[in-house]
Amino acid sequence: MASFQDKKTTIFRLKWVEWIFVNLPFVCYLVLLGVIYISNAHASEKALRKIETLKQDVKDTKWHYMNLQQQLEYGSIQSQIETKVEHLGLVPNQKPPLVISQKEK
Amino acid sequence: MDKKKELLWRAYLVMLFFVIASLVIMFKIFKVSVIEGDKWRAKASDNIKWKVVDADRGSIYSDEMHLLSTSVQFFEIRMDLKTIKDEIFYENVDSLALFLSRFSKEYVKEKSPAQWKSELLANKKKKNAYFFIARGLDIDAFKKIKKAPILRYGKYKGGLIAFRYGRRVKPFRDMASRTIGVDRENADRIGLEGYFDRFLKGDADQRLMKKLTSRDGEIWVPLYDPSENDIRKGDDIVTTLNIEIQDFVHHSMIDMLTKYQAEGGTAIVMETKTGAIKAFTNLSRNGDGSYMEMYNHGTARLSEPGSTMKLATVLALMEDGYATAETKVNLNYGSKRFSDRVMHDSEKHNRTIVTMSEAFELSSNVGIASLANDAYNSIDGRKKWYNRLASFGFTEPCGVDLTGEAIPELKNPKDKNTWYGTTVPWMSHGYELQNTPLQMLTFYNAVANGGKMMKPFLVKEIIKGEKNKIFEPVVLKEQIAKPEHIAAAKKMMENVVLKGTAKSIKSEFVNLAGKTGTTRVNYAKSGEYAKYNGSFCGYFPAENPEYTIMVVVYEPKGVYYGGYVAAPVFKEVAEKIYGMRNKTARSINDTVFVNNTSLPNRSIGFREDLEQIFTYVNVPYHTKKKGKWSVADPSGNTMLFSENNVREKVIPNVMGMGARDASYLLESVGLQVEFYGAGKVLRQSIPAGTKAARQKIAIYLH
Repeated sequence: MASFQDKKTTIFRLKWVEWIFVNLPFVCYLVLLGVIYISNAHASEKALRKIETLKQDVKDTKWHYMNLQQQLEYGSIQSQIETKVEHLGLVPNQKPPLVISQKEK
Repeated sequence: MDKKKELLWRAYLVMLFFVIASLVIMFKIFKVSVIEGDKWRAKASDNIKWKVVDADRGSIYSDEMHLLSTSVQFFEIRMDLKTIKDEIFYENVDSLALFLSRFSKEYVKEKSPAQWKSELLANKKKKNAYFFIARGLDIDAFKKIKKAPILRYGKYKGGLIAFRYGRRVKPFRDMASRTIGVDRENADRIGLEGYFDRFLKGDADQRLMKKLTSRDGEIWVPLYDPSENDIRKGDDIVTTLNIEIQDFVHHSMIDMLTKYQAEGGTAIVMETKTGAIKAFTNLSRNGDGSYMEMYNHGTARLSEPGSTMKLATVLALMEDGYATAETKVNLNYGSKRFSDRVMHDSEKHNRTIVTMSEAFELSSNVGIASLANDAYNSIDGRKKWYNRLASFGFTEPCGVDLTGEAIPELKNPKDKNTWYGTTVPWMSHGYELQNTPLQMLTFYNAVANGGKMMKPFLVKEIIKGEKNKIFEPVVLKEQIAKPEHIAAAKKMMENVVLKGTAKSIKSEFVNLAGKTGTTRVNYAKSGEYAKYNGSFCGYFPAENPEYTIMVVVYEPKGVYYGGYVAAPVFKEVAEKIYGMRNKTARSINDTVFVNNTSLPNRSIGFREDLEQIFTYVNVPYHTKKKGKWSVADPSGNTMLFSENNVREKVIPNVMGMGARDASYLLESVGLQVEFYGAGKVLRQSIPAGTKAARQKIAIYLH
């Protein structure tokens, strides 16, 4: 067993292997960095996905609003109101409106 | 030693594995990057691409910020019948067929449930992965159809395929639609959409994008800087068009054109002081007799103006010192020979000696032509005539901010081949020259505006984020004629309405002024049924002009005089615009409405509104407790306010309220309101005091 630890007779003779062992903490650090980097990329991608779908929701809501807005705009012009209230027997005034004001004393 | 050997042997064995493994990996790397390299690189470029990112196109607004044109997303729905599982499909195909047959016909083509079913079954058998359902669905219809049987399982299980596409939408449909214009891919953009395209379209940009998969299939996000969002959205444009006025003009024109089955017509309302166009209607007759905005007659259609030209003639005569309003002229019973042609007045009469003003009011071709012929039909006179008309703007386009304005045609005396002995007399009443209705309007507006010619314009502002670009009115000519001549011309136009060819449109509310025009269109061809254009150009109120209006009716049937087919539109629009604004409406100085009335009945509603009304009509009231909602009862000689208690999440008592207050109140506690009838609430379907839990409530009004 003693000979196993003898560097000259084992794989430890290779210089680069020894270098890795000496710098093991640093290697671990690199691996950790790698993991953080990858998970960060995943997290950001997830956030992006969420942003995109929310953006789409915002747009859809905006279009829903536009739809309603349009109907309201068109429905509120005089000629449309005229047709809508026709069945109630209401017709537009042919004369300009009169302003009621108090007699000046 | 044995042990050492064994150990070494094992170590080498492990090493061998590693070596083999690394060789395999190396080979794989080689294979992927060199042998299959092209294939994978192609695949990768599917996921990362340069894509054109379109900016949102800007919207077009009216003068009061009503939407005239905007981009809205629409959907096309198809169905992948191949991937839907058979059991889901066959179990639900009946209900899907029923659903589709009952869907709003506006979106889904009308077919019976049996038709839908047989089509669905046939296409399922054919394994059609692209079966068409509907197109042109807006977001709300799309959300509804997503809930349909089968389709509700989504993209993969339900085979739902949805395409989004943008389309320009005009909330006011056909109104002014030719002026607003069309934004289209494969042809020229027209109208404001065309003229202001470079502002509206924003900046499209190329971006390196990465594909991600998500809930709704794939999405593309910018590769390098996802937060970057500086693609400039298109600018919004604020026009001078007023929806209310446009509504009057549009419908008034449709009524008139329909009445006389005219070929088309145009009506333009211009603000006198600025040249801002407040309404612009261009109608053409469809095959079925209805009228639609199809061609911009107002800016692009050249025609001989006819009698409306006489304003330019009398102004020129006065300005060059050949005549005044009182100059006498012989009408010669309405017909006279000039060179080799005989001229007739449109309407028969037996007048002889009248003043120029009277000739103008009667719209006598003979009278105006005689004066012009005496003054200008000489070598020098023709030049003078041409220069004078040029100074009135009859040689140049008016420069309105629309694409496709036609250039007016005025004969130049330098070109002797086109000048005949008849040219001056005929030009003087609007033949042998051409312009557009808008150009004629610009001239009339200058007269109405005291001689200052304004450039007609349609866009007053471009909204670019913080920095807005504002367009100020532009003066084309500071003074086209001396103020006293302008005043004389205006007096004549007032007389046209008071006692001349347009006396039928005299208004009891507002003083109108203008000139009629009746133009024979096909005079050159004999033997054909005569066609005419009727027109009227005028302004109001006569004493202080605010709006100038041009109305042209092309080829009406039956009656064709401008005074009958065009002037009534002018009158109707003028009275409506005049009545639209309180400040110019007449006042009555009687207070009978207020003093002789007793107190109103029990009034229920929003306290501030009630108080405001009572204050306005002078009803005394007294408020005990200032709640938001109140009941006011007559008590003695005042109205006594008491609080109408409205608690959260409890259905309030809305009896006696108007529909507006009642529905506001009920909706604010989360109910859905349906109402029947009109007036005040008589009955509510759920009694007050019940806990509000998003129920549906019906209210009956009477």
